[in-house]
Amino acid sequence: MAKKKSSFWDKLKNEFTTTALVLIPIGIAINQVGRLISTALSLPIFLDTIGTVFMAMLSGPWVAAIGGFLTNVVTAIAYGRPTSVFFGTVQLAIGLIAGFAVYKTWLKKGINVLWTGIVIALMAALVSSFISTIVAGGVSGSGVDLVVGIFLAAGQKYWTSMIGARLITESIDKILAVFIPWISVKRLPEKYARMFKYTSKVR
Amino acid sequence: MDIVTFKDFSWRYAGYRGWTLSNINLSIKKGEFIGIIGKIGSGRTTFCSSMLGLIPHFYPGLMEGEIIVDGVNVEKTSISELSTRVGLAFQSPANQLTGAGTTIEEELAFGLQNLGIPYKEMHKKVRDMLKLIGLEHFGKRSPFELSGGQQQKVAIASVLIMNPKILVLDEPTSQLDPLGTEQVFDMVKKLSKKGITIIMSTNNINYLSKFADRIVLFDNKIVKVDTPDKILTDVELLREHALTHSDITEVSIRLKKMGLYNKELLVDFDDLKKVIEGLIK
Amino acid sequence: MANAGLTSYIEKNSYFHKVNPLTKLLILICVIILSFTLKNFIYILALLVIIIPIAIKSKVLSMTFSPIFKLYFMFILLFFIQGFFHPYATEKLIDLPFGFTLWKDGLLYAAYIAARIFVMMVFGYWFVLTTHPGDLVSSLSRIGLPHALGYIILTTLQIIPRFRTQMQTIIDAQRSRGLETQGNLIQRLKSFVPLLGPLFMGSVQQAVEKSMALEARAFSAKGEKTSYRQATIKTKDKVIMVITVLFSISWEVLSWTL
Repeated sequence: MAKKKSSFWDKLKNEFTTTALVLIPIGIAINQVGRLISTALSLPIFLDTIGTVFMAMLSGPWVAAIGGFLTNVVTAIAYGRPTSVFFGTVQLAIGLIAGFAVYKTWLKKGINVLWTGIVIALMAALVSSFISTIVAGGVSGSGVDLVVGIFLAAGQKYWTSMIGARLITESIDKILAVFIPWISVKRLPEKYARMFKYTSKVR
Repeated sequence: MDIVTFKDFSWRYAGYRGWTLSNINLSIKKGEFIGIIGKIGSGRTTFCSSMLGLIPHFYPGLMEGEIIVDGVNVEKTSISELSTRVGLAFQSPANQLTGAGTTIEEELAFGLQNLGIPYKEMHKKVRDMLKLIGLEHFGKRSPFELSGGQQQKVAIASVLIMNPKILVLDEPTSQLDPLGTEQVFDMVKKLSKKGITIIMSTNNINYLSKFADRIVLFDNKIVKVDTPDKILTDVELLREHALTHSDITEVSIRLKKMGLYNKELLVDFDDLKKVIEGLIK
Repeated sequence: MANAGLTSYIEKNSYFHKVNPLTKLLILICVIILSFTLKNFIYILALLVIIIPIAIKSKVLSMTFSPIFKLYFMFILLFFIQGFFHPYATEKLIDLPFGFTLWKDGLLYAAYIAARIFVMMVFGYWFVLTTHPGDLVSSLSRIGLPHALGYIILTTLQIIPRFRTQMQTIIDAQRSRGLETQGNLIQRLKSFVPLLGPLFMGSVQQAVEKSMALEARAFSAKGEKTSYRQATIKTKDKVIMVITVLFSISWEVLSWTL
């Protein structure tokens, strides 16, 4: 048993190569920039998880999970917003799911980009409804709160509104959040692609 | 005494068919200034990366032969161990900044922190290094606020602070403006005078002709090793490798055509000066 | 002035700027725990009485309370959602037309959450205003934060502003070349892709080059690491820590016994 455990830790450690560690700050920056662009183009989506999915495609689920979670830790440190750490679990889950899809080489097939996006959206809607209910009484400080309000006003039950409203906004967002990094990784020059362990499972 | 020795060294990147470098045999003496020239894709970057052990430890691929640096076998030594013997700086000044340093001082201290150098000693080394690169009043500034040339100096200083005997520079000026280029070359010249072995890859032949003891011409193998006045005046050879000869050589070619000069082509400014002074007299 | 990258840190020469980051972090953690566990919102809001003198002594009073401007809209929604649609509401306050009911326990719950969020934000903001991230990471490293994690946090704070300016430049440049920033949704989505292509490509190149630069500086060296920044734990830190813990425990107990 003890031996098995140590081998798992060793495997985990091997995931965090120097290149993977350096990728994390960059992935987090991409998450932030995604939001900047979507605001500039006044798109009705967030695109603040493209960096997390990108990390998953280059360096696998564990790096993406940690990187995703740290996105929110850094926001917390930067703007003094402790609540954002709790929402880091959403990013963590996204990193894990996207990384798992990569690990299973599902993303070699284009159609699976769509499915992965949908599964991520579903998961993100569930986790963020749960977290925002526990931490912030059901609000998350973004436009989705308004949609939740509309659902509730229309007579829907609390949880139906929470999850339903999020599913609508999340699904388009997350399908794009998988598609955009996916097409970029496909087009990556071989010279750089081979420096990352997981690219061969996507291309 | 040889400080770097390549013995039948060959390297092929994983996923590539051809050898990027094959059959490299070269010995570099302590304190020498070696200039590395060659066209794009001639394996110069690979050569430079090999002395720090990025090849074979960082890049996946196939290695043959051996490299001995400062008495240790590169293949059997970790990169972090090699980093106290070999300093490597490369093209992009911004990408060499770790990003973890909020000030230039911290940027310089990064390597020392990793080596576990005690607090006091670390601060002294940082102060000394700032003085050496002429940025002693900039220590508390963010490295991102510097000009390209200054950033490159900080990048070089941040490996130099780990006290390597060999400094490898891979195209350190190709992204810099003329002023930045001059700043970097001035610094390198200073270091060379202090006895540090310099291996510099650059196609800036004007500068190389002034400083280098020997020039190595690469084309996925070593084409030629010789002194600057031999290699850098071989206009045909340079052209074959997509390189341009220096302005000084060009002047001596023109003089020859005009029948004013009939000896070997020149690459050194002082030699040219003498010839012209002779002509004026 | 030391550039701290992407943080709200303001360099000042105040009493609390010189307090060890770990001490301030302990205050913050206690406040977060309290704001989740105190009995009702009055006890939570009362914590603001403490932050006022602290913020004055830190010379950042008005800044400390600035989160309220970002939060008021969220609070309006919060009171709306919980007031009318609290999932476990039982106590009616008032019946409104169209079958809506305003619930008393819903409103109380909303007040509880609002107080929690506001207090956490205010203390959190005070923390980052007075704590240099470099000092925070180096003190955390001394109590066992993994070296690599500290590196990631610091670097991220440094590079995000650079990524932003870079991206803004690209957006502006593309806009002057006729990038669709208005137009219909599909057009705008289409113009999104050419913006991101170079971003991802450049990122990968940067990651590879940066990791070489780190390797060249013994990043993967085994053995103990040292820190250029050094924040020591002084007597005043120990005193503040003890006071914080004692206060937190007694306030918690008080809220549930009174």
